[in-house]
Amino acid sequence: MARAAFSGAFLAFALAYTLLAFGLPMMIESGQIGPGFFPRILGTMLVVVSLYSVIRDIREPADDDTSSDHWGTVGLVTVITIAFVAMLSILGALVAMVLFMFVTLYVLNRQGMIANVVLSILLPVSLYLMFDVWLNTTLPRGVFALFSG
Amino acid sequence: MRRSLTRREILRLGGGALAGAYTFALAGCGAHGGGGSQSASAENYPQQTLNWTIAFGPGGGNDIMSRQLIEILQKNDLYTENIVATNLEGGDGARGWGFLYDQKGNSYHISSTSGSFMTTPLAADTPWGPTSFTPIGMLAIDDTLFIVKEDSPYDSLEEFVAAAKEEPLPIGGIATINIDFIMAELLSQQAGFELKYVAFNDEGEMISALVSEALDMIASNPAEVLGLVESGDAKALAFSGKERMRSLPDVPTLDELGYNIDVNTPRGVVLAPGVNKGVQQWWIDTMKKAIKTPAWRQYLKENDLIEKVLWGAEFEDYLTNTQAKLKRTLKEAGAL
Amino acid sequence: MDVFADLIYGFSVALSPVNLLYLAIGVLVGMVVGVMPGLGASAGIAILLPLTFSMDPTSAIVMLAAIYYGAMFGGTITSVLINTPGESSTIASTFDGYPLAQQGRAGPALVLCAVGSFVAGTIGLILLTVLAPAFARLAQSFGPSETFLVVMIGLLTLVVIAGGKWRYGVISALFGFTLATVGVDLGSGDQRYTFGSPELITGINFIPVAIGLFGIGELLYTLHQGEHTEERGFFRVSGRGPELWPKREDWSESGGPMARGSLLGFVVGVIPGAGATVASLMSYSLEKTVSQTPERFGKGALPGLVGPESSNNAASTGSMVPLLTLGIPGSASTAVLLGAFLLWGLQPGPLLMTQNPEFAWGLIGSMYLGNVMLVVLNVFAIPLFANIARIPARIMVPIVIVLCVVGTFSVNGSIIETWIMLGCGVIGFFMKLYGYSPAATVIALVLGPLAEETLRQSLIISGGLSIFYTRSMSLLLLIIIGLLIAAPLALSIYRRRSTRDDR
Repeated sequence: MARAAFSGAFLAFALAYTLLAFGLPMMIESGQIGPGFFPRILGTMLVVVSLYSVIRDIREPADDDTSSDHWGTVGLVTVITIAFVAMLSILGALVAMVLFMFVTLYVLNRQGMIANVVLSILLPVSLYLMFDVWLNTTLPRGVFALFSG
Repeated sequence: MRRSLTRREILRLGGGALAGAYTFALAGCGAHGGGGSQSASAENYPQQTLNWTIAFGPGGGNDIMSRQLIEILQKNDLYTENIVATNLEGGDGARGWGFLYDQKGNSYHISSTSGSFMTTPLAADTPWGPTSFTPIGMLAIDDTLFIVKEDSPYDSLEEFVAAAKEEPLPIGGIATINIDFIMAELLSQQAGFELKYVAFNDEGEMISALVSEALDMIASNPAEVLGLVESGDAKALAFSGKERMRSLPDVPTLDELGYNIDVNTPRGVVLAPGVNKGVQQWWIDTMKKAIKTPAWRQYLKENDLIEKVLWGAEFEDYLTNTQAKLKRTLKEAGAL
Repeated sequence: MDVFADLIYGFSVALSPVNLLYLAIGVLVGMVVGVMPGLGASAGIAILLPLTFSMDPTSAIVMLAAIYYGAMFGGTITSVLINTPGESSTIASTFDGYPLAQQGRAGPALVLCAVGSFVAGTIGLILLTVLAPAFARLAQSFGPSETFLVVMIGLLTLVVIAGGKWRYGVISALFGFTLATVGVDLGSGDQRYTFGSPELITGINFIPVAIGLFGIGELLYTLHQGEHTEERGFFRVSGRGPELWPKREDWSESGGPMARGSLLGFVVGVIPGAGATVASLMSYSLEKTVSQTPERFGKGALPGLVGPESSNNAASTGSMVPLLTLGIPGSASTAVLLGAFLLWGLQPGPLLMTQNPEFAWGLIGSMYLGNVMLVVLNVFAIPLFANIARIPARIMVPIVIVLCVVGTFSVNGSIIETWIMLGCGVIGFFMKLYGYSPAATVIALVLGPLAEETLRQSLIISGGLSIFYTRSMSLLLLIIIGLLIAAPLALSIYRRRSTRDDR
């Protein structure tokens, strides 16, 4: 059923996309093909194929096994990563990276705490030096701007 | 094929970059990216990498002129920091100039103008118009050359027109509603054939289409196709300038052929909207020096551009008036 | 000979100290990216793309391309030593590579793979050198209609040969196309699907999408498979001594597979849409078919390792042909490379080789040198890279996530793009899980504007669909498309019949 739900998500996307596509003009005044032309074709095709896909997914059982004992870990790491991106602009890249590395390593690699701490500091600092100082790409500094140079 | 730069990329490139063989830069110097307002006072200008947005693809007239100017500005130390050129083509300039429009008040964003600078706001719902920006100046006007493939059955514009009256023949041009289109539209009206205009965003693709015989004729600024004509891969049928081209003296002008088509491409430069007066004046003074350089004189000559210089507010007036004129033409042609 | 002079010129470009330096960096990074499971060449290139913004375009592409073919070498090490493909294109290398490692023959196996990859890379390059200009001439007969059809062929090939369910492949490709329509319409200048956001006016950038789909998506899949709980079964390779070097009979056994793999790989690579992964799998079955001892396959047969390894390298070289001459990528990695070309204002197409010889021939020249570097690196530094392959997934996952996030952010300094990347990561995970084709999505995203523009131009030129069958080249391409659609359909009908008969 999860498989059908994923096809269903594409179907929902396709419907919204197509609905908007039909609001775009098909032709423009000079007689040229307008901005709505291609999206209408695409949207309609995507609706048809994803609808067919949902039906097939519901009707026939999956032939491959997608079960896993590790859904919890997948979800947890996703949530931590979302928090990481959210924290980027608040805490700044360096602090956010250190926290993310530490928390994720804590979840995945509980045996080697010392190594975890070292890695959680070493990698972010070297990345920060590489991107922000050497390459001069601005990484988010966050509200504290502690390490702005 | 043009999923290339996104808006912030240009800023990002500030780390020092280059987009041509000439703009060498050292990594790590220059701008701090990041966006936001980076207005500067004129005294300490320039202090950062300049971001030059080219609203058309590589190899087009706008691209050629922009890169020429950048080379002049850098070689003569007129602009002492880095200059990064970025092609943001698409949507008849709407993409590139739309990007520039979003850089309000940032004195390190510049772009070069084309016919689309006036026509695109007429045709599409753009948030900007030709006078939304900080004008520097107009430098030259560019005319149009009509070319066909070397083995094309048409040796003159008359022959092409005669054939087009029988059956509409596809003519290629850059952008949907632009000078190329207006030119082709007026030609078809005055000659009495039905126009089949095919819009391209990229000069290279348009030339490929001509060479592959998908198109029968293309309208293009001379700079981009002169090489093709000189190498014998294409034949020039007509030129839209008031006088014949120096480099192609055998090609008749549209006037000579009995057409009355008075449109051309204004080649100028503008800064992002709302840049302060000091910086605007700095640029006017700098461009005055740039157009005196031998390299610029050479560029005008080689590409058969006609020098036409208007600075600041005068340039803005010119844009307003020309846009009004183009609007009338397009309305009459039923394209608006 | 023209080509020869061009190639010499290419070497002179590639041999400049700066380009040589970036080539060496690219080759090294490629090896590392290849060795790290969960970080593929496409994600690797996308993450490193921002780092090249301060370079000359030729140096940048030389480096990025080196990452691409370097990863092909690196992926092998992981496949052989820990039975996990470091790259999707080295899946076939696990079949016989890991059994060989279990027999204590990892050293000779890896040396032969490196040599095979080098031979294939070089044969592929010679073919590329000779064929690319010819292809460019052929491509001159390509107008908008042909370009549109080639894009369709590329995507269809990907969907058809990807093996999974075709409906998932089609959805993946269409999804990529829809993403490509966001932003200013290239024809009219009108905005589409931007919802008033200035961030979306210039469209959805392919970099965050590629990093998300291939980087984060792959990592989440690794976790889903529970790899973070596993200790890696690992076989040591000694850096010297007799056990590293292949025996005489190993060499003679590997010659045939190398030659066959090189040719097959190159041909498959040239086909738009079919990439290195397909080539290596095809080579594996070819070797199994021609072998006199097919029963040894899967139990440590050298030809079953060397053939696919040669094949995937030749394919990565072959895929440069459509990329350079048509601007059509055959895989996700080459799609990202194409995006990089466009970033530099380099428009791949029939005119590229004549208009930007420094770039095109410099790249080809650098690939010869890169191959030499890789074979040296592989033979002498295998133990070093083997150590990277040993890093367990539970440590690798957070490292690569950080690289994906920081890499995406650094492109444009855009937090919105970072969110897009993350969203694509979750989508990419489910796509991988259920057998969709993230590669089709990325290729469609990169080629979407081209497909739309050329379709529009074609329709205007002919005032209808006639252009697609009145031009002989278009007709030929249309027939190929017909076959691509008909073949799997016929196959599935046939299969259904035979299963019914079985009952």
